[in-house]
Amino acid sequence: MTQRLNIFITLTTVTLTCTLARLLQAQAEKTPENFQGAGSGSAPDFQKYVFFAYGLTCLLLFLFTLRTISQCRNLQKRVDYLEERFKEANPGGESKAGGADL
Amino acid sequence: MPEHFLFAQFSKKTEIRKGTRILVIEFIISIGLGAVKVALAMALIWLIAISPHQLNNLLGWILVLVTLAFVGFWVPPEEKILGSSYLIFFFHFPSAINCMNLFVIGGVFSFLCLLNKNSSLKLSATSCDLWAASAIEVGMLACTITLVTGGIWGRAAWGEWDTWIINDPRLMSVYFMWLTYAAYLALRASMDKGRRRELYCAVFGLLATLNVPIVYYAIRVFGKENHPMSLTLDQTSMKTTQWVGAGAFLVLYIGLMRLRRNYYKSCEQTDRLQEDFNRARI
Repeated sequence: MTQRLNIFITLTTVTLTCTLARLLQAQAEKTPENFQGAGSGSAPDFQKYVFFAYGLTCLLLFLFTLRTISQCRNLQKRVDYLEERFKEANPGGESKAGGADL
Repeated sequence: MPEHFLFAQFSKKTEIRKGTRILVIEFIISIGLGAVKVALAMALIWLIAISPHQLNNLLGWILVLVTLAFVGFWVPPEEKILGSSYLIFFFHFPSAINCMNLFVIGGVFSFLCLLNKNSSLKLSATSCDLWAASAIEVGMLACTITLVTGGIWGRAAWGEWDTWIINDPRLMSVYFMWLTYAAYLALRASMDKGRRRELYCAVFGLLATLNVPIVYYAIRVFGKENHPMSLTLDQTSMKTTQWVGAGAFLVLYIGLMRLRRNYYKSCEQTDRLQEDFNRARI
């Protein structure tokens, strides 16, 4: 379940980032006459700021997810190690260590 | 009785009937809208509290994508005063409001952890501690996103990075809150697991929650410098995107919080298992 979740989270984050990039590109491609405030002509172009703000939000969410995935992998290794220890101690017995279902 | 008097009485009765009918229709509509709102709130609570946390995370990401789609295709690309920089608001506001929500949740669990010292509640002290740590960790993520997006927006709107922190009570208090919770995480990381760490962290977590009302009322108490109390959005698309975004990020952050809590719980179980193995010399 953990692995499937990790794959899902990674894929979603990638999709999120790609969609974001596409949306911002679409926003940037709009001609000035499509803009509501084009008549006033006073507001400067803030597209790069919007891009950085959304990009950094995605990056932070991605890094947080990556950290959780890496910690889950380490935990999985510990559980595997305990399982091996248990199997070595009881060669005929069933494993009780199990996996951590995150 | 004169004829015109009868006619006046008749038209008056008709008006009353019409008025009553309109009132009844308005009442039914208001009840219907209320029911829809209650249903939406219940659905949100179900998503957050009862659904499996994987589904919670999935729906959180989907709702964030929906918010992005609203930002890209529905709301106007520019606002009359802030220009296109106002688009940052749709990620900045949800993170800001939800970081405060998460810190309050962390404070509540810290309080429950302290309360559990002498009484036996359904939630054990360790469980409360794990919930508090998870909420504060995800709250820190939300607070960092708020500071980063706020800083960029500040650069775009005010033209200076440093105005962002030094001269403004709201920004200064958020920065202070971030540092307080960073200290909480440092304290937690520096102590060994056990009841002592739970108590220290619970006291710190509870005291740190005092930051939340200070942040919220900073502008009312200390006066406004740059940051407004709230941004008034005049169009339906903007308002809808603002609140859909807030809901989306709430669902996502609660999902992440549950994920972190499950991770910590699994760590605790593995530690206990390892101790048992060591004791049994397996």
